[in-house]
Amino acid sequence: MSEQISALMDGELGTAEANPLLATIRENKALRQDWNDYHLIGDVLRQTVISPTDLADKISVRLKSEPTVLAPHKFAPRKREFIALSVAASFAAVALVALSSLKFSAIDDAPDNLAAQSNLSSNTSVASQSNPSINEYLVAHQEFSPGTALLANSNFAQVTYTKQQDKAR
Amino acid sequence: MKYLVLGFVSLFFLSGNVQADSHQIDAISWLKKMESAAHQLTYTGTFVYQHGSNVETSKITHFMDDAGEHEKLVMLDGLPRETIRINDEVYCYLPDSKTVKVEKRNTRKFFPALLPKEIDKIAESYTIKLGEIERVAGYECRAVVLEPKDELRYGYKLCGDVTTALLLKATLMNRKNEAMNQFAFTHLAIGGQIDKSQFKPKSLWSKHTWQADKSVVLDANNNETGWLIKQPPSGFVKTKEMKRAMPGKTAPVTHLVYSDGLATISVFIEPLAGMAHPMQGLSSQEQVNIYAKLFNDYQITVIGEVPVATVMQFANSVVNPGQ
Repeated sequence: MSEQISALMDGELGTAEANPLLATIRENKALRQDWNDYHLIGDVLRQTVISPTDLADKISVRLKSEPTVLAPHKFAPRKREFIALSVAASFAAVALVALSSLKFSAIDDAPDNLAAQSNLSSNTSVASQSNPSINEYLVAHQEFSPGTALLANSNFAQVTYTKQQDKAR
Repeated sequence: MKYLVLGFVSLFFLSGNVQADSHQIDAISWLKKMESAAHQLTYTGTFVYQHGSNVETSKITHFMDDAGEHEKLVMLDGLPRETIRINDEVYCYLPDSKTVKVEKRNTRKFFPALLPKEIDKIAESYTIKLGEIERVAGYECRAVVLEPKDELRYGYKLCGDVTTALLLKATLMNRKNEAMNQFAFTHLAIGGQIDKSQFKPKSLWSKHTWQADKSVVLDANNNETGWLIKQPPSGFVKTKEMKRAMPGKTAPVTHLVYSDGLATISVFIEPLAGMAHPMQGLSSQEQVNIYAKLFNDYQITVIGEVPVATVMQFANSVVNPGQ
């Protein structure tokens, strides 16, 4: 089971496998703990300052606050909504973890002290949000960079794209 | 047409050679053929771009005629986007926002035209070896492996169709020989007829908002912005120098572009006065590394698909002799 959770965290499971597994994790306290622990371990290894740990914690708090349903009929609609939310949140966590592990493999080839010197948030997506400049720079860089030609039109460009939409209105 | 016939004849000759004795073709001339084939041939196909855990699929249509090179790219995943390129003009069409972005002097390289014209220059920074025959999208392809000669850049593996030399798969490799990103055709037809009516961007998108690129390109050989890299890392030369207007910024940003033929590095220099959030330190996303530092009253930001040490070396070598 822990192997499956690990695969889920690495984004290796399709929706068909992931959904039942997420449901199982939600139901089982021990697995939930594993899930949180794995994220925590990953975060510590990657020296992640921000979100994933935070997010996993928040999810865990919300999961714990999930009411023990004594009168299912009464609470059913709210509960369904909540499950949908927590599944979405879990996927968000998976996405973030996937992103940080990529970052880890890239930073990995830096001399050890470099990562420690870094003052900047080590998660670019967060840096992009707090620092719109990074995103603009990335879009500008991609005019010249073959490797990321398509990246320019996807992840990063979404910010530019939104701005254009605003302008167009 | 003449060229096409000539091309096919020579390619036929070449493919005979490949089968006769693979050692007779050397890696550099195979790279040159790949560079040319991506521009000269007619092809339609679907390719995937894998980066990190993401996979993006695009449909490409390409041909060359008297008016020049035509290419249409339709992104099949995520936000709907279409790009039409006619020689060096690029029209990027975003149907949701009814916007067309226009770049008049395209420098972007799209798969499968990833290789630069100056193949010989690549050999200064990379050891180029012929690889094995592989099979991609139903075609046999001959790989070329480009190993970096130092630790300042990543490696590449490029695989070209044995008959036409069209690049079918391109992989960026880190120092552990692991793939960092990859372009690969999944379906491909080389040759055949193309419906040329789909390449008339203006008539198709006449009712949309058109946005022109606002950057001012300066001569790369003169230091017109006043900024330069003192002793850039070996193999890297400046290919572009410009001042560009950026959304949300009052002052233009200086943008220097350096390349070793394959890897590209951007150096951005911006007055600190206009910045709400100055940045310092390292950051990375997939194969892209970013290093930001403050220099006098300026924000220096270096971005590139190169190892961390390289972006840092660039950032630490920024000077402005005029100041």
